[in-house]
Amino acid sequence: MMATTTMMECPVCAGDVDISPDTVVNELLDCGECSSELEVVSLDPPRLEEAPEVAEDWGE
Amino acid sequence: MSKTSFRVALLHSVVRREEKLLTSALDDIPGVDCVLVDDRKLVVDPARGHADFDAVLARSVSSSRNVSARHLFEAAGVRCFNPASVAEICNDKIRTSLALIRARVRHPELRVAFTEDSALEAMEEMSYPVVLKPVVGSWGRLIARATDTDSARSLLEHKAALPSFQHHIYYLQRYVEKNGRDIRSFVVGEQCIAAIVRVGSDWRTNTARGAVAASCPVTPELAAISLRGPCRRRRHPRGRSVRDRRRLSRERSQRHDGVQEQHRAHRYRYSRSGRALRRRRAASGQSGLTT
Repeated sequence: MMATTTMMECPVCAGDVDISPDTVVNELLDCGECSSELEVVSLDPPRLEEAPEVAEDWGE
Repeated sequence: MSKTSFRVALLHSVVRREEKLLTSALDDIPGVDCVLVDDRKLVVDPARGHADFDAVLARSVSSSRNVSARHLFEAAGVRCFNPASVAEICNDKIRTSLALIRARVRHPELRVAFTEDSALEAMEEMSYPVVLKPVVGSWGRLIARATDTDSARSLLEHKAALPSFQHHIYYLQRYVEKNGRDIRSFVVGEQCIAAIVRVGSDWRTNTARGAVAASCPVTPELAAISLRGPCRRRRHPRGRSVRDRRRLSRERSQRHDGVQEQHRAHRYRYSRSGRALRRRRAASGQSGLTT
């Protein structure tokens, strides 16, 4: 986990995404500016990617 | 990591709020070590097995990956929650319906067909509205409601054109008017621990479709219905209850003794050794078998 709050760049709109200290790898986040669903793919270095698309067999 | 810690793998596709809450709860249990396992990075050698964990909490969002991964882990001796057998039933609406019917849980009228023509016949027979659902699917995806013959024909034509073979099995249910809400209950072991009511403007009351969930009190009636499926009398693998199997075993044993007695009587009367025995007994004044 990260020790301090940090900002990451949204890969879709280049806006700032606030990452809380308890964020973990593979966690889903929403970009506050463009509302894209993002996934934290790395914390060190911090990196975001667009979240995977919903597939036909996704569900609960 | 302590050597005596209980390692639980939380299998996931992405980490959502639920996975974070589960991880946090598991980490709070003394002696439990929770490890996040991304199913996108998981590679399993079935011959070797994958025995790095004591248990798996399967939270992969992909139903197909969930089922396959559970089989692989179980083959390596790792206990999965829920087991692969349960996931297979819950993933497949036909198997789910069969389980509900066996447990005598009231169920919307159902037909299953394998061609457009037979599906249309079934829908005409059931009377509209009829709901078409993919046999495998979730979140309300591709669920459609046919209100008359024209819409039924159109929907069946569209389903037939979909590439996946799974859409060519037609799971048809009579539409049940529920006034924009449904209830979903949760069973752990032999207890209905919670229930939610989902309310929405769409006739499909999935939260993925915008329905809002709220807490629902677990009434005795709700609990009884919820437990009817998973908490039937403990069943022998051949389908009979344990008590029935014991009774049948006793009866079989008694029949066996009776048959054995008949065989002894037959041998006594008709076999050479039996005749010899009768002669000796007659000579000594003893009575023999009467049968």
